[in-house]
Amino acid sequence: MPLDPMMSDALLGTFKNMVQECRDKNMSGEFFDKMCAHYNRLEELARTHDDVMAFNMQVMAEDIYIKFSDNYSRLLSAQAQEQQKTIGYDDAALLKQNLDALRDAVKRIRDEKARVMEESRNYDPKEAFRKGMDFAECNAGKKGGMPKSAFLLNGSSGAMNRQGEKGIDEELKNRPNAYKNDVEIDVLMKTDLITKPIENLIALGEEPGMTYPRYLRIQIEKGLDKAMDGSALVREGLVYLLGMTNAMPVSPHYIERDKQKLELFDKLASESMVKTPNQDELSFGHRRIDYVFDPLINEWSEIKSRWEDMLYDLYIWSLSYCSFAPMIFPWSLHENPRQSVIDTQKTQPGLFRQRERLMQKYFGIGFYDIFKHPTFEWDVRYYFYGSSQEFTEFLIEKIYPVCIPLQDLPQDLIAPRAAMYQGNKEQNPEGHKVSEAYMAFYDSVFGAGRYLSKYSMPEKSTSTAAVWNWSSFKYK
Amino acid sequence: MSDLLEEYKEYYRVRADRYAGNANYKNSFAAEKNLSEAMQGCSVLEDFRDRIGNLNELCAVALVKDKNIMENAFYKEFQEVVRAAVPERILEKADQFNEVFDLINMVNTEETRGMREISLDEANRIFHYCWMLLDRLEIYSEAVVPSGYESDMKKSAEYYADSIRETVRSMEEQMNLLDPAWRHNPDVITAYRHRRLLPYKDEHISEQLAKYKHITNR
Repeated sequence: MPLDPMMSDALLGTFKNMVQECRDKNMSGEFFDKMCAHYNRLEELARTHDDVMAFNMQVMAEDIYIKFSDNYSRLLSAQAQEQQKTIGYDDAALLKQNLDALRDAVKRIRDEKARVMEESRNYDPKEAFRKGMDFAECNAGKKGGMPKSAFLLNGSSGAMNRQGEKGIDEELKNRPNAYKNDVEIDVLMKTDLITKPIENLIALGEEPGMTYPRYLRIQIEKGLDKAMDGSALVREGLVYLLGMTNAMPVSPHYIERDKQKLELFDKLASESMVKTPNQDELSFGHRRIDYVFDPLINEWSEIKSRWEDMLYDLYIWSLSYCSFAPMIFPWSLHENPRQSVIDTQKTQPGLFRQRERLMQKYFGIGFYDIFKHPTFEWDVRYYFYGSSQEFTEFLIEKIYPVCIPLQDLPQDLIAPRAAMYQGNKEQNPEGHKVSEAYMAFYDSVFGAGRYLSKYSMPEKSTSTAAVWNWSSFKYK
Repeated sequence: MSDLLEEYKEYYRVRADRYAGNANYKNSFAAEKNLSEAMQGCSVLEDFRDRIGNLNELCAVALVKDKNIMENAFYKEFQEVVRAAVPERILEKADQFNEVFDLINMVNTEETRGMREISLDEANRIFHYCWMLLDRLEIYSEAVVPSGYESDMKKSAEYYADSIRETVRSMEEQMNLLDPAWRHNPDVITAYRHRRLLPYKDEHISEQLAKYKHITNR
């Protein structure tokens, strides 16, 4: 089974264009032939692999990209050297050649942005869906493909297409830009930050009486060559990332990491004669920051994930004693909901106590320590924590002490536990604020209303519980 | 033509000066200085054609060396021995090259070889992912439950042991596309480059590793 054409076109497109460009310029010879041979091998692998990772692994194992690029570079260089021999030394011609290449670069950068924006504007989600289904139907039953029964059950891809297209129409009614990214591309691809420094170089080269060596010297002295390497774009990217991390503050380590990366950029820029950071120093500095923060990020998420599991144990175990438990998720989905409810009642305390033991063993964090840990306060403060204060205190005070292996939830706790569920007191009433903060950030970057034109409105919590008041939380 | 000569002399001087005093670019400074001196000694521009020899190519070699010295020092600082080996090999070979395309090709080939070696080495971090499965296996094995549920708990524990074996098998299958001889080696996990990403004490890592090796037979 071949790779999905949408995937293989994206992977091979650039190389295909490079071959075609050389062909259009009537280039030939040993390097061109080798380039074509390597490209043909890429196409062959795209036809024989069904898995993109396996394709990439084999391309990497055979060094095909390197071999292709090596021959392409040698081909272009041989052509340039040939031209140079014919012309001999001509200062004006060298300068012109350099400036023409820069003008061409500016044009290519602008054309590429226009092309991808146009492509995004004209993207037809229904056509993409149809193509995807056709590909899946053609390859049904093959290795890595969908089972043939999927199409038999749903009445061929035609029927599935109609169903899918109807869904897309519905979606577009509510979110007209659901499949369009032109505004995002326009904002994020700040091509001016690249083209402006190139145009400054062109302007330098066009100054009356300019010679090639003077042009080369001044660009070094003024740092125009460095400005052209895109560091302004790097800074924009760092600002965007920090904004996103602040809007979705999963942990303080992400914020600190992204803040330090931006600060390092500005420090190196300020120390530079040409106000542009040295790319090597910046790259090593950023990697050093990652090395410091990676373990901290891992530890944070590991601890958080463990107390989330523990609190879920208490939540689900206590809920299983409510009379309506067999009728609600997750038990309602089981083959025998009543038996599943009993299974939860009998086994969850044993599982909970093991998780509690492992948390203590690995991190020295006991049950009550969870609520004193920075991960817990952070999640409450930034609305990531899904439960209300009232319900959390109920779990700590009433459920934890009685969640003991081989014991049942005392009868007197069943009614208050059911009331929590039925009175809608369990959830954090401000849980939706996480998405709202991200929505506000998105709109601040891409324009007011953009988020809702693409994505669903964050669902407001219907919880009747009071909002969290950290200062009154006695377990902190 | 004489003005052009002076302007080229200035250009090559500035090219060398941009590396002056920067300890990270010692090789580049020396190579650029040699190139500049060749130019400064010309009385007519045409002389440069004879005097330049392979000095320009040596500037490329010098820059490759400087960058890889920095790269090597960085990875050594963090005990990243597999990553550090890539710049080491490039540095061993760089001086053999007089032709820029061959130099670039060597660097690209070594870097891609390095990417393969790094992928294979870091595939051993499958252990990090399996930690969670090992814990579940332990939780289900040790949980105190009514006797009627003990066999269910045992089945769940076996399910997690099978998941660990299947995860390792699938990773080996994937990595064998890069190197057919590759086999997961859990022992490398205790090396700093892998160990630093595990937020656990050494004694806990040893304990989990022993269980993991027993289950996976690796």
